[in-house]
Amino acid sequence: MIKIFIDGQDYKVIEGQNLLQACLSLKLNLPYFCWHPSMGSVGACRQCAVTRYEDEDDRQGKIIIACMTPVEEGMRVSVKQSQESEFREQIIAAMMTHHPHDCPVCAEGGECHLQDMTVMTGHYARQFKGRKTSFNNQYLGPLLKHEMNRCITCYRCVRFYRDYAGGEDLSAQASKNHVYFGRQTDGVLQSEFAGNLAEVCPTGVFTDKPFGNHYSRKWDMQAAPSVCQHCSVGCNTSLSERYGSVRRVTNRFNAHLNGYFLCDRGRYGFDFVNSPQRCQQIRSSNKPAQWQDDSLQRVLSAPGRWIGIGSSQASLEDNFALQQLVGKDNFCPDLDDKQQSLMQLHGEILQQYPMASLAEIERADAVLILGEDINCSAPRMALAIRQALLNKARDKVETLNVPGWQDAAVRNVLPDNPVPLIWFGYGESELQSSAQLQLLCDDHQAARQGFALAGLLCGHNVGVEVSEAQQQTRQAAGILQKASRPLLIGGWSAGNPALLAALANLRKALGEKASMAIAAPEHNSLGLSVLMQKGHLSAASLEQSIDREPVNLLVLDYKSQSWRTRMASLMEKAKQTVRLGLLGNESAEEALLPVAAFSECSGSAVNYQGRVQYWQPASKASGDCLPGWQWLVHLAKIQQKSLAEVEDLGQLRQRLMADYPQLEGAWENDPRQQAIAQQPPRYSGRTAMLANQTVHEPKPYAEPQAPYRQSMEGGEPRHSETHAQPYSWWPGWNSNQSMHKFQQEYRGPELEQQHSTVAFAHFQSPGWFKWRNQWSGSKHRGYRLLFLGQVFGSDGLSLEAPAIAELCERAQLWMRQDQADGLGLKPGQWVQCDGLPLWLQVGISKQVPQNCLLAYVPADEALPFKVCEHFDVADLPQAEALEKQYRSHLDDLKTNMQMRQARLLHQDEFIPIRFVEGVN
Amino acid sequence: MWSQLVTIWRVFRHLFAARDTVRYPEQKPYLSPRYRGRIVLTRDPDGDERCVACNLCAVACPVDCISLQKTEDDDGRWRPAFFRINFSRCIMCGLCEEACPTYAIQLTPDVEMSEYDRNSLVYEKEHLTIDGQGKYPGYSFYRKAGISIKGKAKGEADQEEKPVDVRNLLP
Amino acid sequence: MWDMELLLKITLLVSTLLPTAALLVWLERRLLGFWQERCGPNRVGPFGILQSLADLIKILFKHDWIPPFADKPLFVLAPLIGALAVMMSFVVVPLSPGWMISDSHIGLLFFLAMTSLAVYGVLLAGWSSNNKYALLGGMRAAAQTICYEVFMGVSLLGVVILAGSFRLSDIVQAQQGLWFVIPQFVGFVIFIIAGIAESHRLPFDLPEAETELTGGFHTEYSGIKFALFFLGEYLGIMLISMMATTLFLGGWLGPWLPPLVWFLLKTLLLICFFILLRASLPRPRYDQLLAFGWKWLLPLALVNLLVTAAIKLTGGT
Repeated sequence: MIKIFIDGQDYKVIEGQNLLQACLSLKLNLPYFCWHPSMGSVGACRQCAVTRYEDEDDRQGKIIIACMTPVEEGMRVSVKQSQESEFREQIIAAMMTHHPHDCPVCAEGGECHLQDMTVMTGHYARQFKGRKTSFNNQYLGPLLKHEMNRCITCYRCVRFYRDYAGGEDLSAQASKNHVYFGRQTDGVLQSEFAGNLAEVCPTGVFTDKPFGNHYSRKWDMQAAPSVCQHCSVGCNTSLSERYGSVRRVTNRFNAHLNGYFLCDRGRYGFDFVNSPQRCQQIRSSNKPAQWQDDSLQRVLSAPGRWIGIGSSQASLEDNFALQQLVGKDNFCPDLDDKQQSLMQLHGEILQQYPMASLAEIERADAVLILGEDINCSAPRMALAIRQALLNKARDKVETLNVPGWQDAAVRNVLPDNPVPLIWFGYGESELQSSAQLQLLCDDHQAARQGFALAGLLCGHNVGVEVSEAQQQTRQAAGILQKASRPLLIGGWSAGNPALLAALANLRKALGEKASMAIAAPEHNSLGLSVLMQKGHLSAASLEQSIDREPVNLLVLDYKSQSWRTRMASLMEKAKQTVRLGLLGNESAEEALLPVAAFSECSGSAVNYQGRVQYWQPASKASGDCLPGWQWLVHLAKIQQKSLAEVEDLGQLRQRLMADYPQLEGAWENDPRQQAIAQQPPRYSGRTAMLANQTVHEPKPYAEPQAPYRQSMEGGEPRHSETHAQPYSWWPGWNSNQSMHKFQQEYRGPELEQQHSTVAFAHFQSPGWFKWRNQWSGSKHRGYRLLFLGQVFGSDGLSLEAPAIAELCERAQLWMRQDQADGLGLKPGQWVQCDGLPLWLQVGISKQVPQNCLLAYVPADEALPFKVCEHFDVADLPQAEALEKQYRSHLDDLKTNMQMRQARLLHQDEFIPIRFVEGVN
Repeated sequence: MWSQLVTIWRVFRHLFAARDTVRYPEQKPYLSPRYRGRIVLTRDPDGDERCVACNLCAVACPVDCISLQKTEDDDGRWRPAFFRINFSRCIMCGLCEEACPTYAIQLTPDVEMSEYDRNSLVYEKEHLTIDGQGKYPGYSFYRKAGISIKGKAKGEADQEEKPVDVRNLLP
Repeated sequence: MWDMELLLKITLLVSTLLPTAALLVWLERRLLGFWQERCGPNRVGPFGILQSLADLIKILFKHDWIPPFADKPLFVLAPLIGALAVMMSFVVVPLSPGWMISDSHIGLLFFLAMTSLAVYGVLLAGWSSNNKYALLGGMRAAAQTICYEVFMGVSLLGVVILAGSFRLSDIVQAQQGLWFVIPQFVGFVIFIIAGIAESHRLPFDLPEAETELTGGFHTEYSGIKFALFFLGEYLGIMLISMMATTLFLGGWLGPWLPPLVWFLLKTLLLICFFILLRASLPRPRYDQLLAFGWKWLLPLALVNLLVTAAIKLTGGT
């Protein structure tokens, strides 16, 4: 800490920061545009001007740009004197000469950094009498809206899109007053992080399109701290609700995980909660029913064995309640054999090694990605890995006495100072293309090379002969040995447990300096893994039990086609099935109980690190919906099980902690905690929004025991250690940039302790994993299909969001040119595998290993085969029919979107109020 | 003590002063055009709704009695999908009119809107919208704004240049 | 055994007092209207004279609510005590030579005793409501009554010395030559002030000061029970006016007109004066009120008593 003087007052600030960041962390108001805590400074906007004085006697001073100036001991500056204030006002005035008169019809209005900064500088009237420049806008896809007139040329968008996220199709064009930020031609922005532009842009050039279509001002939205449901990273998000429907997801700062950015699957995928497919009604034998109906009660109280099938997409509490209800020996996770062995192994590894947070990932100086399609399975993690690639360059500029936040300098030396990225695997992706060392291989090969690499690193054989190591593996060993903070990345996407074992061995071989991250498939996969520690019914014995005796199935919902196919076969054999359904009304179960989505009730999930994170509801459940655990408690009452004694979520969590002591402290439950208002202080329309239905205002809603109130009652959002803030706001800072005022330092040299509870106790002493025979690939004829994912398409839940569904690609099959020639296929052709009905489009890629083909199948289709022998090519009429089918699918999407829009607008006008709370 | 007595005397003298109140409703007082009474939504010179659903009136309302939802039509204009004022809560303070950036919402001198049923005081858009321009004739927000709507492409607003050709690097 | 005439008189008195109190409400509202340059209630009946009747009907049909947290028996009893104590005092008021229910030889003492009892109504109401505002109001009423009762009694002793009797008809008769308001002017002023305070009318309505205590002691009251408090207050004004007339303004005495008319005229004038006070004076602060009572009015009343006694002893008239 060093001492500086601002306006004659002395302050302690962190050494090495720039002056702007220091001022903001001291909660001083200093306007800026181009600076961003995670993107560093370039000094483009000239807005953060302050006056610097030589010494105490200097009255004159000179104007400097705060974001470009490192703080120095004893430095004297002023931020409130007239000369710098006028300077800043002039800068704003110049920017505003061409800013359109758009605020009332701009989706950024009310949370616009430009509005805030204009008010802050005091500029209020446009003096310039000339004409305003205008630009034509571009179509940038279903996620972002472009309105170029509003640009103030701070360059943040291209710096984020190109430099930070590695996108290539957005650029700065033209010159002087005509600078234009856009694509070469109209088209969908290719980066899966493009949605962040809506938050990065200080004004309304890029705005959230789905949100804009069903828009509400920030001050009008009831927000809740939430956790993303679309991958195992568990990014922290803020959900916003208005008139009973969830409007959007924004980033909620978490220094250890997502920081300031989300991926587009997380940002736009939430929309499944507004889907017309949502279950809203209790159904019995596919007909709407009432809870009291005899037929339903008969189904629910049926005698005999009840088997519960958990869900890695449901919350920890729901799964635990199910486990309690049916007993741990009747609790089966929603996994097949292969996935169960992956889960087993993943659990073991988590008990041996801690997993790196994204902040730790960003600090790595060498990265090994072992057979994992990380771009798809955890996009935000891939973005963090991208940031690690800057570390050598940053170290280099610091040796030259240039601070690491001088972004332009860092980018300058980047080509000569790369961080080695080692890629063992297949498929093309963003990270693969920036890899320094690549080995093209299938998952078996990758795993064996991983074992061999571990052998090379520790000097003796670990399961696999070191002599198997290939050229690239030997190079990798050298790189990893030299690195001071090597990082190992793996995951489930190849479906091969050997990869996880290889990673664990590498981690042991490299020792404490290394860190590791393994991506799980769903946001709560590891929650199931925690519950399975007490024992469970395996997938194989589930099939046996069903064949042996008539059982009742109790199923937590899951949204993927392959799972549904499996469920359908189980249901046929079961005596009867009760589904706690989230999506899909038309189905064959005996009873369907509609459950509340994550936006409507509290819940927790265990992320890839094994950390428990919980979310709060942004709205109330409508229709017959109840949280899953609550349905299970009602069932327990019917079946007279001990779970029936649970009255609220707090008690359920108490039981959970009693059974799994490592979860102690995972939930903040301080009765003295002051209430936190989920509605902003300027929330409007309170006395009118329901007035067309009733002039009586209903009582504000709050979950029992939670400090969050769905009203304006309670504290304003402030930075709190224990309780997440529903939305970010600071007086005078209405945009999400108010977050920047809270940080002392963003991912600085010292990382703070992560404050969440780890659900896996590290009690096992790490040992070597031996190679198991079942991991070796079996001999097969034909081609092995390796499955690849897509950010938009592989996650079933997010496909219910229309914007994501529009971006979802059709099933694809990639092969090398020589393979295509051998099979007589041409790119663009449609083929079927071994007579299965699914059509795949042929693509050519260099990243296909020997004897393998790469396949991508969207989550709403299923391709059960792993090996394929022959392909049937679609003839011309068939191909045309497919095209036609796809076009009509897109048209359907469009119509659905319009119908959904109309339904939501109608719902805004007639908010579904549930006067009677739940079923008792 | 003396001042109290004087006060008593002065108040007493009011017994003989003329009354300020009138016998409403038989006699009606004059209300100026800018009197703050019933709220209306006006139209712009083209006859289209002026309201752009910016929500500023709702946020300015101290009793939160205005609620609306924005929707966007094919012609690019922002409109309220519904616009509701709960007059049983309204205090006729006029802050909504001050906040309105498009002169859409205006207060009128009509104050006679009592009802036996509170529900009848909930006014929807169709009850609020009038056919004229109200107190501010001639103003059209979209002539000033930068966004393009049907019938007004980029660069056609007041005080606006034609759209820039980004391929042109000439000075 | 029953004195039929007395019973008749009592019935007549009660049946006139209640409508008169109601009429008084209308009178007050009309007068306040005039003094504030508006009309006042003028719609119900001629000149709005039936306004009070309409209000009465309305208040009778209101929900007679007893809060669950209140002390129920006391809560019901309090307004009854308040209204009955005031009505009891009318027993001794000499309306005219032939019109007095009881011409007791301790009439004045009876009046003082009854007004002291009235405060129990307020006090119990404040206590039994179990509400902080009501309790504060009740406590104020108690302190205020104790303070002002003392010199109210003392101020009347001058009259008693001059008349040589506690019997009210004797006191009226003693004013044949000169109304006591002249020799006992100080006593008169003190009595009026104390009387306003006793009946907690504006500007001394601190027990119910609605700007600070919502409704004071009757915060929790509604319907008929509230109406009883209201009735008690207006009967209180009438009572104080009648007593002031009797004690200082020569009672029924006066030329030409019948005695009863003279009495009612004087009373009405005083009532109007009370209403004028309400229209013109602001409410003092609680400590100011008590300081004024203890530090000014009490010494003044004592001096008045001493001087009167001294003059009487030295043989003055």
